[in-house]
Amino acid sequence: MEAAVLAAVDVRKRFGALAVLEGVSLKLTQGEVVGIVGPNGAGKTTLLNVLSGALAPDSGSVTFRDRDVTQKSAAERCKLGIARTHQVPRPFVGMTVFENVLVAATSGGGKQGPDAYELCLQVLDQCSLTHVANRRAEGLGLMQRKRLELARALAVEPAVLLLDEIGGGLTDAESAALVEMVAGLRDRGIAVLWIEHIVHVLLQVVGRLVCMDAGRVIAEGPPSTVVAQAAVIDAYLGGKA
Amino acid sequence: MKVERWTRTSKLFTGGSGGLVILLACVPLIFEPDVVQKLTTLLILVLLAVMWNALAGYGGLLSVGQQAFIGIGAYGTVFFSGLGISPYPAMLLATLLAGAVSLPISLFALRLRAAQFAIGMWVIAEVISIIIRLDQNLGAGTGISLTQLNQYEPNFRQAYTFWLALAFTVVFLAALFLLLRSPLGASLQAIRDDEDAARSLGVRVAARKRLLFVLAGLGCGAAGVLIVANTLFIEPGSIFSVQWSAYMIFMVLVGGLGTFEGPILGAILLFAIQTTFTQGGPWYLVGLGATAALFALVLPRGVWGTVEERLGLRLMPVGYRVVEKKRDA
Repeated sequence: MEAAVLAAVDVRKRFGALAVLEGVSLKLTQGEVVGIVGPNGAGKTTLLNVLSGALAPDSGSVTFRDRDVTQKSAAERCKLGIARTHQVPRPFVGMTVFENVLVAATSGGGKQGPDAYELCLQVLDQCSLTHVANRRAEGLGLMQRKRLELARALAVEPAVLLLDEIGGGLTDAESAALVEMVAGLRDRGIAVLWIEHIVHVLLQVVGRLVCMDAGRVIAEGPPSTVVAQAAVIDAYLGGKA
Repeated sequence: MKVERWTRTSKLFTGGSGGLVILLACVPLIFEPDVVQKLTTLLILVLLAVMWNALAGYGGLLSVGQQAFIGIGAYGTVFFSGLGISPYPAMLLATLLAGAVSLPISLFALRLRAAQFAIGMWVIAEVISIIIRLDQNLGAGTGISLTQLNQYEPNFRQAYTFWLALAFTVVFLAALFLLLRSPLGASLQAIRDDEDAARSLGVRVAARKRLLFVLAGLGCGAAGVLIVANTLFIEPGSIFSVQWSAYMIFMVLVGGLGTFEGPILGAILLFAIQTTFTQGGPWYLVGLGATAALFALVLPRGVWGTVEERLGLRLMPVGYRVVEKKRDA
């Protein structure tokens, strides 16, 4: 098995009395797409926050290419090559769509001038945002905001991409395009961790599926195996019918 | 597709601004000293508005304590002149002093967020004011004159001060302009809009905020220097007054928060109101407050923000436009 590009080891996180992560370990190797499913409150987004550096874990560690990054800030991790999207999009509303993406290319991506512009134009095209490039992000609808989240993360030129429910509300054609894009990223060697409720979309592209419930990983492995497991059906897919 | 920064309008406007600076530089040669003094006041307001906008409009740092640096600039001038340094070099030193003081203050103040930061800055300004009041050599609570400037004949003094005001305004506007055009510019606006999202995209938020804070410290210090040079007398009660912050907020909100041109417009507006309604007493302040409230409700982006949006007009090339690539013939 290839070495992990991003790994969490026994990560724990509490918010007051509420234990949100109770010892989660996870590995992501280069060019791998891993899906995370689980009911609301399972700790999926919190895990992603710990991986991206937005939250510090109470214990446990996060390593990137065998280097401990647990103490590193979100900004430093982004510069190293860990990019994320937010479940509820967080565009820079006072800036144009192009400028939003430019922040990612120049700050996290470390690019400057024409190189940065070229990358941004390419990413905007990839995310079908070129026609709104000059519009203030404030005026975007939810779907465009989600695409902007993805575009900004891509402009970092990440080694690891953490996606938080990017596919909700998409039409069939749109989710097919998204699946194709994620597959393209995988083929370029980018590791993708994708939290998503829409399991049938995930199954089209993930090589491995992780199911979380109540702050723990309850199943992990090839997607078909995980989906078939009784515990997963109980926790997530609606219980015994 | 390609990215464009200069448009024909912005080229014309930037060229025009250069021309305006040259015209302004000629003002003391043509007009009476009282006109020169009034225009110096206007330049001070422009400088203050632009600096407050740099903090709030680009860094998301809403300070109601910038009078701390105004006071340090003004009292620094008196202090350095008292040491026997010639007044105008003393003014440069005082400006640098304000910038130098802003650095240690930033270590504390930038840990605070939003309303905490706003009030924290006010407290800092009050503390500095109290320290000055304790110093008999600086006139304690009753104030002090910048007598060293009397060595110049009034007409010349007024002209020198005006030229210094013009130079400061140009330097600080140019510094902000270059900062916003640089790769850092976009990341500064990102911090204003969503600090955490900016962090997640690799923006070093703390360092960027510090940069703006020190720039605004220097700029407000320069404004303080100009205030004492223009009026020749200062006392802690007025130079450290929170009213300066109220003026800055007024100018920026009315002109357009987070736009380059808006605060300049706001400063001109405040200047016009001040010169028209000087006899108004408390009603003048009530009027200012009501105007600010009205703008917040009706034109939340201020005059310039609204113009920019409605007309798609961009005079200063600090933004980016994506345009179709022209086909080569």
